[in-house]
Amino acid sequence: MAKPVTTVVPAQTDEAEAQAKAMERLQQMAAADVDALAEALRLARALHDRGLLTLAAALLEQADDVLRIVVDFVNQPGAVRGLKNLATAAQALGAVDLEAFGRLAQGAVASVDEAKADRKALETPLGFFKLLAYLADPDVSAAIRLLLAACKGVGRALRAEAEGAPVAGAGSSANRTAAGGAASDAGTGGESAAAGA
Amino acid sequence: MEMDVQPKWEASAQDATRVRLYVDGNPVEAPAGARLLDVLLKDQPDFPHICYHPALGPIETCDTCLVQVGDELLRACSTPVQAGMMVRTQAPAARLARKQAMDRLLVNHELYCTVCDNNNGNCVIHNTAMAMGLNEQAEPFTPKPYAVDDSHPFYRYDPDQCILCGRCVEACQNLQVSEVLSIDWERDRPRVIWDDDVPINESSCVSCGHCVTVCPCNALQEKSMLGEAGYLTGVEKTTLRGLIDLTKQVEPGYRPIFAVSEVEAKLREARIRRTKTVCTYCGVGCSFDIWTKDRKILKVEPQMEAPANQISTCVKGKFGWDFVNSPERLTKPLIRRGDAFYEASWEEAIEYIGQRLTDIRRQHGDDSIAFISSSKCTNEENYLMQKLARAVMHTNNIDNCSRYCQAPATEALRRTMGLGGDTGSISDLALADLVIVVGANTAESHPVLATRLRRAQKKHGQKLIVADLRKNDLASRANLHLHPKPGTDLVWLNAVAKLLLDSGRYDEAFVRERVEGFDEYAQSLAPYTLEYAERVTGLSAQELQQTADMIANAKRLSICWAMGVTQHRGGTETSTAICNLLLLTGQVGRPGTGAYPLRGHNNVQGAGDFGCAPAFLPGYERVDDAQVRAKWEAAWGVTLPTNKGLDNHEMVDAMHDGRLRAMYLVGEDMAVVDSNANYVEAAFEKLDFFVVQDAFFSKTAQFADVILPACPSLEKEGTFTNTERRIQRLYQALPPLGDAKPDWQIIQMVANRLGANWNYTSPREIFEEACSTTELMKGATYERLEGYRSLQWPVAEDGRDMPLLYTEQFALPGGRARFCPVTWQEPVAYEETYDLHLNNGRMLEHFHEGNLTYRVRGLREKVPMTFVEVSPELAAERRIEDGALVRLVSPYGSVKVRAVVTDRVAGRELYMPMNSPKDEEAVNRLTSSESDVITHTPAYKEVRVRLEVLGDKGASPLGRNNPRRHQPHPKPGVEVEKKWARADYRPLVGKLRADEAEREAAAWQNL
Repeated sequence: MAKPVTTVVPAQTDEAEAQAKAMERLQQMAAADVDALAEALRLARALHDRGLLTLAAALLEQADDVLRIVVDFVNQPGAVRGLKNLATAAQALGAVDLEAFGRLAQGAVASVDEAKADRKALETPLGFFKLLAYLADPDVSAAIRLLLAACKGVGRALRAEAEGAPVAGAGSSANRTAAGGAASDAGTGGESAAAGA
Repeated sequence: MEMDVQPKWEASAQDATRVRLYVDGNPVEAPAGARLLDVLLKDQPDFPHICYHPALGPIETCDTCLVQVGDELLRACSTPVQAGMMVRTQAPAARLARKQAMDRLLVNHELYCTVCDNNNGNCVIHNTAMAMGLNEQAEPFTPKPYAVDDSHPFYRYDPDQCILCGRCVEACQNLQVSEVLSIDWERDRPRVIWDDDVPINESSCVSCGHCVTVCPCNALQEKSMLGEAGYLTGVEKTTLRGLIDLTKQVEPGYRPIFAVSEVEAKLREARIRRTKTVCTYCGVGCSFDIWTKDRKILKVEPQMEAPANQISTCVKGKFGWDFVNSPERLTKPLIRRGDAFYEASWEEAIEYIGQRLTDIRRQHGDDSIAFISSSKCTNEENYLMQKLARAVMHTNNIDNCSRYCQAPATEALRRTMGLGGDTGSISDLALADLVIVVGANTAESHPVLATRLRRAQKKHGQKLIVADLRKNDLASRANLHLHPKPGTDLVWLNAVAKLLLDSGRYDEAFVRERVEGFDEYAQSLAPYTLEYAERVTGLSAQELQQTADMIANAKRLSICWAMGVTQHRGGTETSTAICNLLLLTGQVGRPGTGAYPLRGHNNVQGAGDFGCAPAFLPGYERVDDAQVRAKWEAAWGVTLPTNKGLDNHEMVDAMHDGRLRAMYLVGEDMAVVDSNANYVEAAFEKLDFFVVQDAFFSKTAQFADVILPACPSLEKEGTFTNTERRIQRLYQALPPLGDAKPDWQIIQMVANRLGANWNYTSPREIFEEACSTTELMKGATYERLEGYRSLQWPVAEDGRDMPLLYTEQFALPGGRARFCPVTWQEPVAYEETYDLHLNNGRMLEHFHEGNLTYRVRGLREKVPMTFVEVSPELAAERRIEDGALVRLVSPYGSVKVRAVVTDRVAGRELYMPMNSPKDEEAVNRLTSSESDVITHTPAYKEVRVRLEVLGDKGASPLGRNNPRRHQPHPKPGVEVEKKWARADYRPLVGKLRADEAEREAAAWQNL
């Protein structure tokens, strides 16, 4: 007669036996990865010596609070501007053709060296007519053209900003007209404008 | 593939006329009328499109798939291809328009992908923006003036992230057809609303999850994903907001944001596992990916390639899996000693079982021990269970719980057509012109299958007849709802057959060429006159004639039935009457036709297919056939028993009379799911030894001597066979919890202790041994079932399967079907004092007795307890209010439950769900031991009770958070025309004026 029973008695867990089993497993794992473990211990010791482990543990324990403080701080206008500048500078640097820039820099260095070598000329003031004569020099003329082109670009950007035209950027307060966006969908390259007309 | 609207590309490619068109100057061939977008996607898989989903078809809200055709901009999703069509995807006007369309979407959606829980490589908006090379948006994101709707236990809606694509609305209105969601286009800022704009959890939403599955972004998201999927998404809300603002201010464009989020999405793959599994909550056989992080279930992600369900799910399949991590799971073997169970080691438990079963067998003989397998377990486990019974313990005392539901339908199909399975597929049901549903609450018991019927009716004019006592969901939508007196289906079915026969409206050629026994059948119908049928069934002559007319006018008829037919004394006979009617009208063996007994559990079909029935070895090979036995004896190297085995029903009687002394039961809470529970429990008490194997400490387990902890489906591999005879593989998503083990391993341990000497190392080995020995599934292998591939038996040795049966011949001698004349069994008679009929069955939110689903918090919130449905008439007569406590008393027991007053039931008919969190409230305390006279399936549906009002008024068992409390809001769909009619809508499609084209080309070149 097996009447329904609902009482369950958990097994007496033998602590010592469980611990011995765990240790045995640990030993097996350690033996299998002895080199990696030794390296990991070295790293841990170095981190411990510098107090970095304690710091990391504290950071993790307080992760939410720490992240909030960091985000609040970084979200201040000054910090945002700094990060933005950094991103823009990185982008500008990324746009520079290093090879071409290298050639320009080498040319400049060579000319500077040349000028430095002519010690006498360095001591003589550069007169107005001499300056005009330099403009006739094809090398100087080309360099000035480059600088003026850069100035033009800066000026255009300045004026655009003064007139309230949009500044590209994700989620910014951009208000460009619908036709003003740029995209190259599907990444396959479009037909030419002439073909599309 | 949009399963019933647009034929599959590959299929249509063979049939339809093919035309040549030109895409960007290149010739392309496609079937005439195919969707242009589908054609483009074949060569340009990244071609932009957001609102279009292959399961939903064109919605036309997003405009991101615009192309130029001639001098016109068109939506590729809604443009059929034509011969000679000149399509330019890269024309400047088209590209510009697509960019503008995307800009408009992004006004409604804030891109913060790296800290978004939907950034998992499959976010449609993210991927489309990336593919378009989007670096900035022309108009800024502007939040909408609505709060996040967080009310629902399983998902939330964030209006600020909603792009108003309408996928969710289309899925709700026209795929699931629950008709809850719509977009209110009249508002200044439109949004998705539930019903007439109520909180989600107080709407008619049935929580099927379609809307969440199709959402192309994070507007609708599973709550289980929130704060869990991403590495950075779990931080506090205010900090997260700060991070989003910072990222947006600092980043000079979207490309770097996308790059970082792509990296983060890749990192997520290292810790989120996606495993294909097959649902265990009914016989439809939905398959999907389940996402897990360690043991946490993040979400269910349905896939288009899932053969039975594509992207469809119900509330249980989509959201009902947290029971696997319930602290109430059994994790150690338990052995009864005195008045308590004691935890034990596996070795100890198996040794004890071995000793006791060996002793009992020695003392009382082979047939003193019985085995009950589970329709929730895999085919492999069922195969092992019957092999253990027959090959190791030498008894045919093996059965499974399909005895409780579907044995009559299987027997009816076998005797009339030859094979005990649905004659076609779910796709055939969608194709039919007329579907008749008899005694089945399909919308709650087979929810995804019901979506196909509702969609076919709403979108394609399919006609629906529902014969049921209750005005259930499908009945309320039916073109004709028949409400016969309980237990009289056979009479009206035969009366309708007689009407068709007498008026010559039957398929004479089909009957002559393909069916035996017509004359005898025709004679057997003689008594079923209209007058007789009206008197017995309570249906009117007009209703019967209308039914006959609808059948006669249908080119393709399918009939579905379930427990309302089978769980009667005449269950097999009524099932046979259905088969006879189909044969008479020639409605078998063609697409869109056939017989569909709807299998209730995930593997009801498979448990029978793999031999868990006393009379059948795997593949329905008869135990009493000497040749068959010889084949299996050779395969297993044993001598097989020849004694007739006991079925479940007979086992209970045998326990009472002492013939049965021990039982090994797997995965079944028989104490509360078998009929006349008090009688069954008393039988258990008489057993000498009882082993119960389960994932939970069930009511049945309380009677056991040893309880073995088993794994649910997510913790094991194997195969299930659904109601369409479709075999599908499930893969292991989680490791076993604690010391629990997959059932196949446990059965093997028990068998080996009893001398089996088996050495299966994987379910694959078991499956292939089983299938290769059967004739029915000879060609089924794990390779042929890899991933989402499936096979519908019979499976030939070369792997060919048969989604539609009997196209050429029936599986009976001579290849001909057989009419089987039937006899009506009058329902069980009760004393007059039992004055109310008690109907019973399943609910959408719970599975079977609720053992699993009550352990899912959200499901329990939706339906916390069982109850009895009382008609408004009876409630008025007896002064029963919603929530009143009542006692129901039958000759077999009594229960106390609360009442729900509803017009789903009528007159003096009650309804009680079979799920209950309390064993003492189970409906089977009231049911009898009467059963189907042929298969012994309990007559659960033939119960009468008396009702006592106890006077304690409580809250209604169905709260405001239950969808049954609310009315759906049907719409034709997204109603995009309302969007286009808005004053602020500027069309992007249409003819390009010459100057416009030039201007836009120039604008494009300037960019």
